[in-house]
Amino acid sequence: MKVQAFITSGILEKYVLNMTTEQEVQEVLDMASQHLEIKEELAAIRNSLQGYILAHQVQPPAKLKEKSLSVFKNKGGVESRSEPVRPSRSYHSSVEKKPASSSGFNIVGVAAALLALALLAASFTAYSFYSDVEKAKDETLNANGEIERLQKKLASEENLSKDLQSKLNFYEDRNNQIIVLNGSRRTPSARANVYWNAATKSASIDLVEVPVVPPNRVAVLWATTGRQVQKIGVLKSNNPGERTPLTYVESPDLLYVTEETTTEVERPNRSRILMTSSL
Amino acid sequence: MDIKQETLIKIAAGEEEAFTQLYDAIGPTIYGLALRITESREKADQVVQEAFKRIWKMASSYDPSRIIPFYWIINIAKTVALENEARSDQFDFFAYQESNSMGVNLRNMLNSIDTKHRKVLELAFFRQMEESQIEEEMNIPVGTVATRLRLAIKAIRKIQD
Repeated sequence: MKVQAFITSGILEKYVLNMTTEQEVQEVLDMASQHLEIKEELAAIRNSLQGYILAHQVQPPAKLKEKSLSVFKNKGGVESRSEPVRPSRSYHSSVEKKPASSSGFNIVGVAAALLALALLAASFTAYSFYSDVEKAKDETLNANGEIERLQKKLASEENLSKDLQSKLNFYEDRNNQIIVLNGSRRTPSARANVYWNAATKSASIDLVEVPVVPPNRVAVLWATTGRQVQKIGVLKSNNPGERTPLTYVESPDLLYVTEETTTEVERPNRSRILMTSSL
Repeated sequence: MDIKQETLIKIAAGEEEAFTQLYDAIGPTIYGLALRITESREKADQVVQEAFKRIWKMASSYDPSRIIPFYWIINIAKTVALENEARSDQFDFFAYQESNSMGVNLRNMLNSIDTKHRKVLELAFFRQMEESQIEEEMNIPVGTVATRLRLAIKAIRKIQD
């Protein structure tokens, strides 16, 4: 009878939906370990919820598959794209038709023809010169564009190298103590690495997987030292490998994250623990 | 849908085929949830890409003693979607889902759940609201949330049977 009442209370549905308190979670786990009916009921609820989730399936656009998989193919890196090359200006052929020569001998005609030839030669030379100048200008523009592109690329590579060196120095620093924060049952996929450095008296956090927080709520990180509890930061998502600075405290015993209504809160809401880690 | 732990192990080891298979298996589910939560096709596209990126990054830390792969993936997808909520009045998820569905009639399923019970399930699942928040949102007495959740899931189970 007790088992039946437990099942119909709705606590199992809350458990599957991660809505139970720590105390209720323990209650469910205890009951499930003692009563097979409860285990079966939990499996049935999970199946039903899965059916509900699957009913929301929508065929994604075809291009989305390629985009999503490219993350894996590129190993998460951003594919470097070369700058578009300036298209070369096209030039018309400089070959021109020669004028037909007169077959009759005429001094004026010959002079006119010579003059015409001279003019033609001069204009051809001028056009060739102009064409060469334009071509040279174009090549200079292209070369400048290429130099600019390479300079930008070099600057970007230098920055990346500095950043990597700085990260390498950080990870090689033996004074850095790494504390892993794992998600509670409320948000089991949450995970973060906290770096504690007693030598430099600094602390930072790399939020690998952000905890699930309802709208208008915030995740606050606390450090316990003896009987003292101090707020040391507010969790914000960061880019992979980047760290957010935290307030440093001496020799904390425990770090944990709670869900709060505001960042201004002074005491942790211990009934809403999202992540924890022992030191 | 049975997603094996081995699939996540293979993804963690860098096996592209496993990643592709996972996309084929659960991509439509993630896309559907993303559309439902963000109410934006553009945002849903971003959510799917980011979710798969996180799945790949997190696969090595998956702990089978805590959660089954399906719910582990769904939790990641929901987290990303809730970070990208857009809430557009112009987007009708149900109409869109109906014309691009994978064969399941969602409207029929939802119509067979009492509206009040369904609302509680939606707030709990899609909005990740706590019991007290739902009580406040729906102005219902303490304890009613659990009862309504149970009745909503019972209705779904009845349809599945």
